[in-house]
Amino acid sequence: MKAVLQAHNLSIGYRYRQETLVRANIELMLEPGRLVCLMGPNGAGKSTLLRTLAGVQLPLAGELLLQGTPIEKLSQQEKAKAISLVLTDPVHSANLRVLEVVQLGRYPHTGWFGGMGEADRKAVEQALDSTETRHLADRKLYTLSDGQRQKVLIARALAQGGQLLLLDEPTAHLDLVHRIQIMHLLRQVAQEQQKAVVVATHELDLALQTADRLLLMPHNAHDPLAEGLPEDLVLNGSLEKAFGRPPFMFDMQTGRFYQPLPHKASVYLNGAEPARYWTEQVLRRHGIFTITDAGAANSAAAAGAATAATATAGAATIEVQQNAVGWMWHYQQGVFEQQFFSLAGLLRELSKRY
Amino acid sequence: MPKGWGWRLLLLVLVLALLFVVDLSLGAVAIPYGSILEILTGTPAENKVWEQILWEFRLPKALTALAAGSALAVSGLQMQTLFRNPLAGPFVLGISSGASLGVAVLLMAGSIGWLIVPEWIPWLTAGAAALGAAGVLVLIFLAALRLQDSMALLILGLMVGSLAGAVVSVLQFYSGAEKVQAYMIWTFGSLGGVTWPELQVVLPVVVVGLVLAQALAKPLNALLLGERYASSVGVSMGKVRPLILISTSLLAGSITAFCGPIAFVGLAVPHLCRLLFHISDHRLLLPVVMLGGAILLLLCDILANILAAGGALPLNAITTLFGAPVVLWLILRQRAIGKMF
Repeated sequence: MKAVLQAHNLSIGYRYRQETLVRANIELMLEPGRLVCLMGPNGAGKSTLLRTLAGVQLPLAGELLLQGTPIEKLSQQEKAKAISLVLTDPVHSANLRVLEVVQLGRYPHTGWFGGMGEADRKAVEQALDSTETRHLADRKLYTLSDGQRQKVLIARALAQGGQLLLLDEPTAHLDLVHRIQIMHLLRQVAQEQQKAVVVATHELDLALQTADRLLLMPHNAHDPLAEGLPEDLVLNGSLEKAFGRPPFMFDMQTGRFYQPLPHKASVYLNGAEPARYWTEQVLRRHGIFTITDAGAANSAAAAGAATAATATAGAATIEVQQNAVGWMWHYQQGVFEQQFFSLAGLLRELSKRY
Repeated sequence: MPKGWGWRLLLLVLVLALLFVVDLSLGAVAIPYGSILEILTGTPAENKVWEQILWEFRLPKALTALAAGSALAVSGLQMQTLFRNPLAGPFVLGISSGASLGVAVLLMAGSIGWLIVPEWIPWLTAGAAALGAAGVLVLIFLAALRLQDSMALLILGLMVGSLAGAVVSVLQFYSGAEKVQAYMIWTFGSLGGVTWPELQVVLPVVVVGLVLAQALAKPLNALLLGERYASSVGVSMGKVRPLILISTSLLAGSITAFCGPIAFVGLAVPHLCRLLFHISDHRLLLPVVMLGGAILLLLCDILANILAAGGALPLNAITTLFGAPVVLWLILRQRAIGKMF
């Protein structure tokens, strides 16, 4: 597989009055057909890297090859034909229609007056189809919802062609469904059109769910960038290293960061999923840690005597059950027993005790 | 060209032609339409005075209205698109103030011994105004590079305007009443002061500016997405920005030099055209705005003639009476004009 973009010993930063180095020694290879999520804490230099990869700003040192050619040797038009962008800049022009926006993507391919040829029309139609925005073509841009508008801006970038597609936070301000939709769309585009797609994002959940590769920029400028399969980066600790800062802890099981809370008490928690999971979540948020113990659960279910033995050890037992009406929480501590029909009710009781 | 646009452009041209003839007929002496057509087509007219009035005064004035209207409207459109700001225009950004300063220096600096201008030479006024306008544009442009904030640019334009006004005040203080009056009359704006030899300069300059603007239609379209998107599709801002500024200074500068700072046309006409025709494509918007600007200024001149036949009603009063309600209506109608123009 031939790399779309290759960086060797790359230093990025700004030349404004004097050189400001943001990060050095970047080694990077972007291959076609892959969706790469570029992640890192604020201030790590994501935007600078993205701007450098886009050819908007020149590297301070090192080598950056776009399809084998050093990027600084390419004209703006050549770059525009190879790289297309989706930026966070708001686009609002009252009369601008969706079709016109997508057609503007053909800018580097059309003549000096912008007339559309057969190939241009085809590219525009393909872009509208693959983003499922064809039915919006005659709408004015400002009348669209945020999710639709983002799809149209992606369609514009697709119409532009080019093997490298760079997106800056394309899922910001979108609801969950649209976020997932956009990411799957990008992954599909990467695979079907053999593009290298790079998405700068802060949404770890989404990136773990959809990315082919993660590119992590650790907060510390001296730490090297980590690149790899998302799951590999979770397991080898790269993710924790990139984002983890006390007091935050990384849960390798779920791939989430959390802030440890004071430990008030521990309880046994058993029962059917998914209610058990959500019970665990709400209790943890209130400083109550849960221990899931299959043996205790069985004994609790089997006989009150056996539970009493556990209860003498001091910890309460919560048993989640599902019945015809819904979920039920059976709480027992020592001789005290009570049933709750919502987590709120259970929580009220627990907050009295702990 | 999108469907139906040939007809609409033709309609605009017809309206323009009609207003042109109406404008020619109005004045201290009313000339019947029939005679106007006869005189224009070269048929020997029965009334030699009409012929002279038409050729020497009314035709140059109407042509100036055409040139000034389209030039100011197009330069306003270019500024609005370049700065992505609905309130941009030659006047609002202080470009006309720059031109005024140039003319003021030319007319009055002799009074304090800075500059000796031997005679009233039209091309010299044009040069001074164009220089002043270009100076302000370059200043605005340099600030645009540093600030990247439209609001700050507008304040800068306001400051440049005030600064120019202050320098003009100082010049006026040291100048004789005659020169101050000449300057004041210039600031009222007028279409009538342009004669054939001056038109020979104005028209080519305006045509060059308009052709340049039309040639920039494609990058102007890309700029609708914002400068960063424009750059990403291959617009070289380093080349396009100066070209837009050159076109704008040719258009706004030359018209301001010969007709004075004509208010509101540059700001209002692009908005009017966008609102009436629902287009944003500059390939179409530019010709529509050219025609719209010419139509509006002809209308203003016709109105001035009706209100004060033969009198010199300041043109600026009329354009502002026309333009201000338009801008007000726009703001009330759109509510969030900054987000959708």
